[in-house]
Amino acid sequence: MQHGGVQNKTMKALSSLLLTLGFSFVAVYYFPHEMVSPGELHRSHSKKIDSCMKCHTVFQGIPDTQCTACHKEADLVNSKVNSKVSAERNSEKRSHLIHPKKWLQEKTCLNCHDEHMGANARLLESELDSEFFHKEVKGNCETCHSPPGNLIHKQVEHTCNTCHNSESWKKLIENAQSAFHKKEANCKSCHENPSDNLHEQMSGNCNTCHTFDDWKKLKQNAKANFHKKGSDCTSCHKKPADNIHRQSKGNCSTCHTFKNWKSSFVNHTKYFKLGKKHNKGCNKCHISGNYKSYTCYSCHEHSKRKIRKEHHEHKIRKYNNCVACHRSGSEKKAKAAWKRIKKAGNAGLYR
Amino acid sequence: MVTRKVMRIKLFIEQVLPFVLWFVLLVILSRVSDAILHALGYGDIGEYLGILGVGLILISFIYSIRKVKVFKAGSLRGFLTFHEWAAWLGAYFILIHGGIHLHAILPWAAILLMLISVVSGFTGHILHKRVKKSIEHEKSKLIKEGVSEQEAENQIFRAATMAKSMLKWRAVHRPLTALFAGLAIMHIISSLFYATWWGPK
Repeated sequence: MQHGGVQNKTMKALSSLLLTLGFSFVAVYYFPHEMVSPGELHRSHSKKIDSCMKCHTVFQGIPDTQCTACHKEADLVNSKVNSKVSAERNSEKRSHLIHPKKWLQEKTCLNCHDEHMGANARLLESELDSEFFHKEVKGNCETCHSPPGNLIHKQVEHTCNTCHNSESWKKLIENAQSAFHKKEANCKSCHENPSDNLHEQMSGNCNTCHTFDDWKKLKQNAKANFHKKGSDCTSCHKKPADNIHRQSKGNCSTCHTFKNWKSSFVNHTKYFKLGKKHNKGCNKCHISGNYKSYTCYSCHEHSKRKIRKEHHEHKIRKYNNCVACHRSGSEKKAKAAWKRIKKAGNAGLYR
Repeated sequence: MVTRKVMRIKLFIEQVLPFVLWFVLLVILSRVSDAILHALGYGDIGEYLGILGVGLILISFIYSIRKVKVFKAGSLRGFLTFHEWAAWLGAYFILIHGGIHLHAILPWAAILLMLISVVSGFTGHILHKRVKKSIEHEKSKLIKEGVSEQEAENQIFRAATMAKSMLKWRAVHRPLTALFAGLAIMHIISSLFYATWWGPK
């Protein structure tokens, strides 16, 4: 009885199994795409492929002959990626462009291509990015790319990777520019002369001041070579707006030199220390605007009568060069200076 | 009245809740494992985990063979425990294999039937435990009659598997498993039918 029950139940389970197999077989046979397709076909395929068997061969996978039935081998080999790569990026045509002949001989279509990944998915295996392709054709860019027809590339005789590398095409490799620029080359055949005031005055060749290695950093003495003594500085440079320059009436070269512009600043203490009482503005002493001459009589403290009286007390009659003794407002230091003059036997120069 | 309610809650906590948690764990763990595999770039392993899962489930049926006494080695209880664990683990691998790809009906129907079979398996386990507990007193009688304790335990276990409620449950569990098997077989056949790994490498 029990044995019969077990047999009965086994038969029931077996019938369920066979029924399921039967129904699912019919469903798969009539609705293969809905029942077993692992994903949507790419939009370029779904328009033309209406049956699984157009690509799949039973228990044989997808032989290349199924692909080349539509994608002719000659088309795959002969096409090149032209300079309008970006324009073709989204077109269906582009996916068939890069097929060096050796790949077609050594690989199968499915080595690189994937399907059933969605209407807009890449048809390539995920790891097959541009880096992969460039490694495969290293040093032979023109397998796929046509050289640009612009002025700079027309002049270049080197291979592409003299200046470029596939990791970062737009960023040139180190020394690429100097490799391209040959000494004595005529810069203006490619570069326009800058239209600023400075460059419009230039009559020499660019490499008088610039180097190919580092265009922005000028050659040593380039500035000095450019500035000719006596030229009018203010035709290019603006006069600084600080206190000293505002009061100055002379030419820049009175104080500055072309070779070393900044160090020409006048160290006034060397001649006369400007203490609180004397720091009254340049024109107070340099009344002519020429900083090489001065006068001490321009304030009521230093009246001619008062100064004459004080100097006559020390029997000094030639006192026009005040700074011979007076290097600051200190009377004590002036007296010490006069003593030094006398000790040196030079007092006669001032009597 | 209150005692009956407490008993029900106790029954739920002791017997039903662990299996609910095992089921939830099965689903969550498989999703997490799938996500980790994809994040590490090993998503393709899922294809092989399907084969491993089916293998484990097939091996788990050794319990059914042992139960109808095709062979007699080992304890029936041990085979049942193996059946439950191997089926759970097989289901875990198949869930990773399935991923969350909702495109084709057949594999998803197979997965659904597999999950229903797992739930049915859990139900069977609870029922068996309850029936066995209700006839536990028979064990001491058998021992008094001179049957060894091990043998008495085996007899009680077997009696529980043959109880009326278990027979009814089995009448559902078997066809469900058969349905799952049918869909799984069809999925495997169709996959092999269209598989691209037959082709030239």
